[in-house]
Amino acid sequence: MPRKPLEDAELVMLAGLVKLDISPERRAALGPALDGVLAQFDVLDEVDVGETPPTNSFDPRWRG
Amino acid sequence: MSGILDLSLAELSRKIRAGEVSPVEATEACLQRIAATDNALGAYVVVLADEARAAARQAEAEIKVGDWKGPLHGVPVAIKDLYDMAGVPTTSSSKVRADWTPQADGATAAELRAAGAVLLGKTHTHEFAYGISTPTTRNPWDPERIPGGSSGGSGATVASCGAFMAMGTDTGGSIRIPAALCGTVGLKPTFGRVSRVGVTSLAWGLDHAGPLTRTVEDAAICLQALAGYDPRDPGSLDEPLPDYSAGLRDGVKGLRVGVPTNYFFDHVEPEVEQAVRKAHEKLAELGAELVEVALPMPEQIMAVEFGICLPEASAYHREMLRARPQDYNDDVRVFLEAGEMIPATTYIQALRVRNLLQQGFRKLYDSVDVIVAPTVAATAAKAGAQSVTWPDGTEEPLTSVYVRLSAPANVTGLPSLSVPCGFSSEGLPIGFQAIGRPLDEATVLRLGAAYEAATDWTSRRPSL
Repeated sequence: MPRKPLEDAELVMLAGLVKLDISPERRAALGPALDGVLAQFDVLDEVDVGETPPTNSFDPRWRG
Repeated sequence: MSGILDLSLAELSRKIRAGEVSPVEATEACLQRIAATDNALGAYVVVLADEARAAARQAEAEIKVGDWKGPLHGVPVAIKDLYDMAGVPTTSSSKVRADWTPQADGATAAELRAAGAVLLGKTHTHEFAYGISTPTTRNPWDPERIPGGSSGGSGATVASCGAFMAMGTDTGGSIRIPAALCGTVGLKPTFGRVSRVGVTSLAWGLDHAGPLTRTVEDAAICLQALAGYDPRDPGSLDEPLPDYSAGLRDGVKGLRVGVPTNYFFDHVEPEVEQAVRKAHEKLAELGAELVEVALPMPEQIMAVEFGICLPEASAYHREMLRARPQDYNDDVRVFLEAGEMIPATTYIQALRVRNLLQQGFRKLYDSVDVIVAPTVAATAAKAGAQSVTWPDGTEEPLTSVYVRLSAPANVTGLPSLSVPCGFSSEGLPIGFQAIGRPLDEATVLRLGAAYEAATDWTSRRPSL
């Protein structure tokens, strides 16, 4: 399902969620940038990852 | 230009050891060269002339009494302004960090000092390493063009003979992009091979530290001084350290060189493709066996690269972005803001797909020893350009143009060496990258050295 561009109200909600103060002028630039990166990441969902774990696994050994 | 400056690091080192050239002479030559060129190039955040002269005098005195520390002793080098040097601001070329001064050397500065190197100064990076153009700095081959990034200052100073080596970092290509665009050698070692302690992070899961040099032998020498386990760096590898110079002249006879049939030649400038394919032919002439290979999951590479980079970069900048957002440049700020809004599950999905990519690349290396491909898809863009329009009408943002061919080695953590392999009809450098198995820097260096010995690209200098 293709993404629809984020609306300003959605950007306001997202900014509130992450506690960032983003002016209307900055939201005008942020919207297309965020649309672009989210669309780029959609291809990740096409991969059947099965039981594959993420690469950043915690190493409990004490070092240093 | 002084004859000293025309030497490689290795040649200079041999002359210093033999007493034919003094570290003081070499340092003065570099400082004069920087003074003559940096108005045009803007490679340096700060030149530490007094400190460099003092270090050079100390090196000279030590070497005179037989206390030779190794091949970097007395050699003038520079360091990207992401690396901590005690008492010197690490600005990351940003107003945000303009007044941030570490009290201690990071691992690299400490190692370089222990090796007796002379630290000339700190080179410009794209702000916080988060970009590919390094807007403060210009390309020595054409000052109307970018040097690449984010280690653009390091690429510019090595290419213009202001330093015999300059340190870079590489999260999405930031050593290899400026190396290719400025016509130098650039080595991104295996992930975790070189300590990142004291290096301002862009993305912990993708950051690599490594040198830009004039020759492949120089890169081998520098790697020897810098590589090794550091328990303070969670990504550091506790693995034996080979002698990286030992097999440098062994040639490529019988080496299986992977020639990509997908991804690496998609949307590439014709002259770049031509130069790299000629490099394949040269390697075959030298005895390498060319083997066609197809990258696994090519459509996932950039999504994994940015799916990891954006959230991790935003996590690092959380506090600073809230404290002083106005001090960031707009191009960096917008992606730091966007990175905060990427779902955690997307980030984790990128890490899971990364795992599958690693497994796919591992299978690839059953049939090859090294993959040789273009380092970047295009030569150096004009300063201020935002995109490239390809002959098929596709417009591609510059970040994508320069990152997409370097990203595979960041995502997989494999060692990748960028080596000059020609010039465009506009006189702009072209580079290929040799991507090896994990911890097999020796093989990529051996291939690079063999190619370099059979060509003359690394002996050419810009007319600046």
